[in-house]
Order: sequence, then structure tokens, then C-alpha cells
Amino acid sequence: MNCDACQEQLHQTLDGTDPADRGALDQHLAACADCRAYHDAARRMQTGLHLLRPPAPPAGLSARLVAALLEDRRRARSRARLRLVVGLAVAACVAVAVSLYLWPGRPAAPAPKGPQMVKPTPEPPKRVLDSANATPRQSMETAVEAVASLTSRTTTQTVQQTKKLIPLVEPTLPELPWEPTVPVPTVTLRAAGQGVTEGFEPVAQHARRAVGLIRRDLLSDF
Amino acid sequence: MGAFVRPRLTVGIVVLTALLAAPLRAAAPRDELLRFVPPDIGFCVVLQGLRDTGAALSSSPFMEQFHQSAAGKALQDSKEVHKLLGIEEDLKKNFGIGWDDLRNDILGDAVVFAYRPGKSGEDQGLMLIRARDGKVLSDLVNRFNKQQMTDRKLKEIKELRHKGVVYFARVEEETTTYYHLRGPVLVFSGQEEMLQRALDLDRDAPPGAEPLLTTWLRELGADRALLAVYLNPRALDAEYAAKAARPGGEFLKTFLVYWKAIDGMALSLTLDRDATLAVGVRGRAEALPAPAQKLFGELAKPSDLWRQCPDNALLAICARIDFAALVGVLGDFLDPDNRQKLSQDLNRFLDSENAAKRVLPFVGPDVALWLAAPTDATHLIPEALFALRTRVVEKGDRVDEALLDRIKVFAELAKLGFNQRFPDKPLVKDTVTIDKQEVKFFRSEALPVGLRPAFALKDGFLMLAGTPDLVGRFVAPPPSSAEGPAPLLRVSFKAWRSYVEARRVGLTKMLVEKEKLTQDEAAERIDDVLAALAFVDRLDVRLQAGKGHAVVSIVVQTARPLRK
Repeated sequence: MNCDACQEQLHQTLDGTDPADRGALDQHLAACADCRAYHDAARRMQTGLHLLRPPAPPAGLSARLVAALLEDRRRARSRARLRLVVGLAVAACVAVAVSLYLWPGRPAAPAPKGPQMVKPTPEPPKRVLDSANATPRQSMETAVEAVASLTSRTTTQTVQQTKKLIPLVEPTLPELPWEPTVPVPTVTLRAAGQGVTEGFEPVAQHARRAVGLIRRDLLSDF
Repeated sequence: MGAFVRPRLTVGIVVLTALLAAPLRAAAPRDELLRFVPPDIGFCVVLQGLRDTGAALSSSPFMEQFHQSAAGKALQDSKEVHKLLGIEEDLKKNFGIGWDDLRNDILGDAVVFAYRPGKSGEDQGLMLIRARDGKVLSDLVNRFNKQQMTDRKLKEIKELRHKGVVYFARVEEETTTYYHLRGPVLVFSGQEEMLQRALDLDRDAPPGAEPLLTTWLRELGADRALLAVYLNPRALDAEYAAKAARPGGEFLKTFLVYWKAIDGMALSLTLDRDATLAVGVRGRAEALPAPAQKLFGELAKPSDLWRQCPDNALLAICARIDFAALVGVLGDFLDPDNRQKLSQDLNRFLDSENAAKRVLPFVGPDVALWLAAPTDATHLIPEALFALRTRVVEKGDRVDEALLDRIKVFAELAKLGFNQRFPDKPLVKDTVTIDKQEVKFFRSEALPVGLRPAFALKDGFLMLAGTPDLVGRFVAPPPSSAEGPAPLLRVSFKAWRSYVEARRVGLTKMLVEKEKLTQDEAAERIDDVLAALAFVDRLDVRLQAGKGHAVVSIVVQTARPLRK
């Protein structure tokens, strides 16, 4: 087999037809470096083409809508989980910080010399309850509200600060005009993550019930 | 507010005394409470050593830094903190104690919440307090009852007995709660049965015996934690079994295999020099499916790649992952359709008829990804390197070369797309030989300065890197049999600070262009980022596994210590 015949056979292979004489083709490829390189290139191209999405008519509108809705819900759940995790972490930090600020003998805070991380609230200190009328329950409710408000505000500020870091480390890569066609199994990995989340759902339910019980039975007396 | 002006000397003496006394009293207050807690609870929250930890923290270099920061000042001036300070007067008026007394004398030793799940509406709870001074606690309870009687919230207080032990019922309009007070210990519950059971447990426990919950917490390294939340899986078994038996509960049956292998879990927060948030699991590894045993067994060993990771890496992830086992474990959490899809996607991704058997067993276990500040200070993009150990031969096929071929295919596809968009600045593939090692890389004027994506096989590793030089600098670590805690992730905020400070001008310019900010706004944003990074030096995630337990710890090393 000569080079022309070999390349003809390779073209047929690319077109999906089995070569007429596989033995002769293999023999020629083993002996001819040029044809072997051509064959390798053709094989890579074929593999690459397999990775490209096959042409298909646009998916049905309803299917796309359902997928988009499911994706929206998934993202919303992810965001909610992220907010919960960040909120809990910040809440713990706030609890420690508040506790320490109320600690006796804390050093007076001088005016900041460095860059400002959080803009101080200009509101002057003031009493928020009328001591003469406030019941213990009202005091406790105000305290809980204050801690909740502090937690929420600090969480928001922390998230904002973190977001400021992102543009600094995100490489300014040009946007590619093509969609990724590599079949990375992200969908199934996401499904596995959801499976784990569902598995722990009873734990989460009981955690919520435990918090409810503490609030209802144990702290409501305050 | 008056507390803030107390002389520092007094505070110093109090702090010193508290710190010196802490080891002597160790876990005793907590154990005095846990002996009341039934072992069939679902959750148990333990807060201990608040007074000592708080005192150590408040005089720590970290708090000094925080107090002096803008963030600390903002917190101090916040309206919420002023509200809390204002409430102190009400506390003093109604109960004769302020925040300091409440924290030091009442809550400073140990507080426990326990929750026992029941059928809907029949959950049971228990709150326990071990105060420093029994008289202060008793006075507080009496003042509290008196105040509520005055407010007519409380109708009456009845004295009751359970096997000779006195406890009280607080009868309110709609509910009744129960408490038992003994010296510095207060036991409180909304359910009489729960309180009586707690009293029985206390009476039957041998003197000095360690409570079961203390043992469990210690096994998970959470016995010294400031805050620990213990989860007892057995309390939820019945609910899981019922849900798994329902139609559509097939998935939960698989989940139950894992669930039943777990004997206990604990989430804990410890504040020493550093802050450590840990999740501990107690269980029987042999009860897990084989892939899970292999996956966790491998993950618990430190990766050899940590020895090659630069000390100043901004971010580093190095682990030993048994990829075949990982796919097996993931499959356990998928329905049959998705499990099949995972297998098909993997086969396509790795261009194999059976990737799980023919490729994955020869990949890993060492895998790493790290980012480091570029050696050239004019480059803004961090240097990135990904390394994956590959074992070479399977029946004559080179798995490593097959993987490299796949990378080449993906790279060609990326190049195709890139060049369509930037025909004037095309991506050009090039080859460089470093130390006799051929490294493929791409270059284009459209890429950020310093970025030349490269890939190669080197010393048994498949490597992807931000530049060919990174591949050249990589030295494959010899295999070792290191044991002990396995570091999994490290973030160096100290390195991030240096990185941002050294490139302040360039990053400011980049922000102006990318985020459409003014020069001042961009500079302010850099200042904000540096201020946020100023408090923490480093974050580490580690896995420590021993016989019957595993603990994942997140250790936050603050820029200044949390204790003197």
C-alpha cells in the first residue's frame, strides 16, 4: 500500500467505513512516519469531534423552562445554605465580639490609624428602654433583637468585604465564545451533593425543632 | 458601663487568677451537669469555661488589635451594642445582676442544653446551669420568680418531690415548667418526665464517674471546647427507618448504611492560641461500604505533595484521593439513572470504555492544587499549579500518556475557540524543554501578563500550570509513609496581604479598568481588603483519623494570638 492509498483508506475510516484491508493499512502506518502522524492527527480530530455537541434541534420550551426553574431553585437553595453557613460563622464571631466588648476592663478604642474596614455608625449612644416600665421579657426581647441585628449587619458587611477581594484575584481572562463541551460530570456530582443534603434533612429538621423547643420551653420564661 | 472604667490592675489579677485556676478545675463543672443528661438525647449543646476563655481573650494581643481597628471601633459604637449596654440597667433593677455578673457568676462555668426527639409535639428539652456561686444562682432564681409573680405571669410555685428529691413546678397561665436547684446547679425543663429522669440519672450515677457524654466528647477531641454540639445518631434511627420504608425512600436505604456506621458526631469551637472549629465523627469504619473505607483511609494519610508546596502559597490543597473509591462513594448517593450517567460522563471525559476500572485505579492518590504570588512583582495573576500522580502501566497501556492526550484534545478545542475571538492575537502552542522534560504551553498577547498555560508529564505526575517554569520547578516528592493528621487545605492570609501590598499600584489600575471605579474608589477598596486581611494569618483544614473516630478541623491562626 502506498501513501495515497493509505490516506484514502483513512478518509474512509473517518467517514465511518471500515478499511478494506486493515492489515495492509496497519503495516503501512507502522512503516511510514508521515502517514502515522496524519493518522494520529485524524484520530485526535475525530475524538475532539466526538466531544462536540452533536447538532440537534432546539430543546422544547417546556423542558428548558423546567430545567431553568429547577436550576433556579437549586441555586436559591445553594445561596440559602451559603447564607446560613456564613451567618452561623459570623454569628459565632459576633457573639464572641459582643461578649468581649461587654467584658470589664476592656481597653479604650483609639481612633483608627489604618484603613477603615467598616464605617462606624455615627448614632450616639442612647437608652432604648424605659427602665421604669420595661419587663424582663421586654429586656430579653430587646437584647435578642440587638444581637440578631448586629449579626445580620456584620454578616452583610463581611460578605461585602469578601466580595471586594474577588476582583483582585480573579484573572482577567477573555470570555470564550464557545460553550464548554467537555463532558465534566458536574450534573451528577451536584445530584450526589443533593443526595447527601437530603440524607441529612432529618438532622436539620430536628435541629430546628431543638432550637424551637429551647426558645419555647426554656427561654420563653425570660 | 461602669465596668469599663475599672482599673486595669484589678482586671489583670482577675484574669491571672482565672487562668491559674482553670487547669485545677478542668472539666468538673461540665461533668456536674452532664451526669443529668440522658444518653438517648438527640442533641446536646455544651458551653463551658466562658469566664476563663473570655478573660484570656479580652486581654489577648488579638483583642488589642481588634479594639484599635476601625472594625472594632464600629462595633463598639454600634447601636446594637449600646442597646445591650442599656439593658444592663434593667437587668440590675429586676434581678440585681449586670452582664458581668451574669457571665461570670451564672454562665461562666458551664451551661448545657439537651434535646430529646419525640413524636411531633412531644420533644423534650433540658437546660442545666452550673454557676460559680450557688447563692448568687439561688438569689437570681428567687428574684426571677418574684418578679414574674408580681407581673402575674406566674400563678404559683409548687414544691414537689421525686424519690425524695425536691423540685419545683412553675405554674403559668398556659404552661408549667419545672426546675431543681442544688447548690450551684440548676436543672430546668418544660417536661416533668424529663426532669425526673434527669434526677434519676444523677442519683444512680456512681460518685466521680465520668458521664457518658463526656467520654464521647473526649473521643472526638471536643471535651475542652468552649462550645460543643453533640449529635447522637441513634436518637434518629427510627425516623430514618420509617422514611426509608416509604415509597421513594430507596435512596435513604443506602444512606442508612453510612448513618448506622456513625455512633456520634460533634461540632466544636475551641479558642486557644488559635481558633479551631472541628467536626468529629465516632463510628465503625468496618461497617462502611468498601469504597468508603478505602476513600477515608487514603484521605487520612498526609499527601507527599505538601513537601513540595511553597511555604508562601496563597492557597494550597493537597490530598490523597482514591479516585476509584470516590466514584464508588458518589455512586452510593445517586439514583440508578444518575449513577449510570456519572459512569458514562467519566468514560467520555477520560476517553475510555470503562474509566472506573481501566483509568481511575492508576490515577492518584496524590493530587494538589496551589496558588502562589508570582516571582515577578509586575505580574498580577497568581501562579497556579495542578499536579496529579499517575501510575504508569496497565497491560501495556500508558494511562499517563492517555491522560496527556486528553489534555491535548481539550487544549486544542480551547485554542480553537480562543482564536475565533482573538484572530489578531491568536493562541500559539509551543514546546519548551526544561531539564530534558518536554513541556507544552500556549502564549498569546490577549492573555494576562505572565500567564502561559502549560501541561506536561513529569516524574510520574500529570501537571497543569500557569507557566512552563512552574512545571520545571516542580520536583516530584519520593513516596513516604507519613502518618498523623493529614493537612488538606491551607490559605495564607499573610501571603495574601504581601501579595496585595506588593502589587497595590497594578491592582488599583486593574480595578479602575475592570470595575469602572475612580482611582480613589479603587484605592479605598484595596485598603478595605487589606484591613479585612489584617486579622488572620492562616487557615488550615486537617483530617485526623484514629481507631473508631475521625476529626476534620478548621484551624484559624489569627495575626495576633488569642491568648497571651
